[in-house]
Amino acid sequence: MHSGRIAVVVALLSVAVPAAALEPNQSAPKKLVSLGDSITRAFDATLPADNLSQSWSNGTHGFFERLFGLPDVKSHNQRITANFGGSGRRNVVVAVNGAKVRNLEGQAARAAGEGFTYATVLIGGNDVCRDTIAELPTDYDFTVDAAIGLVELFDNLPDGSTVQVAAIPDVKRLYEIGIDKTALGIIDCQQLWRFTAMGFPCGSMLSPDNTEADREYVRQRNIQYNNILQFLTAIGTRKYTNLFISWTDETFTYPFTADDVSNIDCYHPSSRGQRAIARETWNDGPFKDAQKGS
Amino acid sequence: MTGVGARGSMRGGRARVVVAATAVAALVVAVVLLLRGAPARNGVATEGLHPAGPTEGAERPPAPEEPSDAARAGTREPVTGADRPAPPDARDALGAIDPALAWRAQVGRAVERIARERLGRSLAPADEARLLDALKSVGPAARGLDREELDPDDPASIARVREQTATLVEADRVSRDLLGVGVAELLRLLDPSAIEDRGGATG
Repeated sequence: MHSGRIAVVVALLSVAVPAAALEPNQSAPKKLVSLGDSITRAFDATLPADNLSQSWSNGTHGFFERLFGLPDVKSHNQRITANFGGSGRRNVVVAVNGAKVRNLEGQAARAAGEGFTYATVLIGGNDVCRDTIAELPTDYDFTVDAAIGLVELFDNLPDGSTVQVAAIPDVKRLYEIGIDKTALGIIDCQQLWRFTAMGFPCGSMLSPDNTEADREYVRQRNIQYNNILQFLTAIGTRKYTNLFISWTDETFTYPFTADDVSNIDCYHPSSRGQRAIARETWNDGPFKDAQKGS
Repeated sequence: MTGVGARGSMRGGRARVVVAATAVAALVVAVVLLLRGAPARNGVATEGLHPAGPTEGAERPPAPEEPSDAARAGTREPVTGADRPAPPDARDALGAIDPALAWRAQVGRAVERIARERLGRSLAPADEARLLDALKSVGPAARGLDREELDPDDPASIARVREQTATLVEADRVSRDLLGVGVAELLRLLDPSAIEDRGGATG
């Protein structure tokens, strides 16, 4: 009799899922996969190159991050463990540096059939950032590539899974922050961009030869690509009633400051920027009621 | 069922509870011992022992200038059992250990493992010292940048940001020179299970 009660208590204690955070039939987001580009890989966030532990989506703050004294970005991965428990967790990144929206299908294929219950998608920055303005994809090309990629993802997730699609950040805002950093003498961003040797050629926005009108045009393309992604996400929400699909534009609208942008390359989010993206997208996302670890 | 049988069953039930409680207590002690003893084995033995997931909730290690009990745990004699605590003189000795030395010992063991994996050999003592010096600077610089509210009107604030950035880039360069990987990649190699990386830099 006592052992039966103990078993019940143990069972109750082991269920750490806050019921309010999940919709009926929605799976706990314990199996996380992130799709996207260098922003999700936290390129140059703190140290040169990928800083996966600082990723807004997959970031960790475990034994070695503490041992080395690195910042804690309070990523979606960390919030999932805090709110839904650590058992049965997976934390997978399929995001690729330099990936464009046409690469989304390949990333989705890599995530297929693995039972992921939560996917984050942040891609398109490399479609805005091309060598030249002439290379920016047309609406048609962007729509087709994004639709193929999203369908590949949605088709292959199990029922009850959650997907959050995030807007492409405001690349012109990042450019303006770089100009500010240069003016302050922190780093000569314009000199850095001139050589675009950091693995993210972005002449379409960062080239010193561009006029302000050029940059405003690129920003309008940035906005239009986000409109397309939002539209496709809305269609997915209607068509895939077995999934929980949502859109957030916080990654575009968040007012990034100089502190939020890498001092190494003047473009990617810093650890502070990654933390801001994690916080804003989580709080605008499907699990916003689950606030442990925030 | 007779009265004797019922009482026997109740006794049996109590016995099962006692046994279960004892087993739970033993399990807790075992987990605590594993966690406390893990760093002492090779400095990276916490892999797979994180109680709340791959990386979250792990025992808090000592940051370079932020020592904790874990730092001392990483260099002490192995704990032999919860019912056999270290004698008072040993605890006094533990308290006297320099946290900075404890940090160097712990990171040194971790770096040693990666050097052997990547280079097939240990680093020369001078190189290891150079690398540890560089790695020790990472935490304060990274956290400094993370916390700094840049004041555009304060030259000291701007200078700090510049200096901390240069420190991180230099530490990364030293790590690449000596181990062939940057510091962020070094961290990933130390705990590859924390994030399954199926992306990569190409494509």
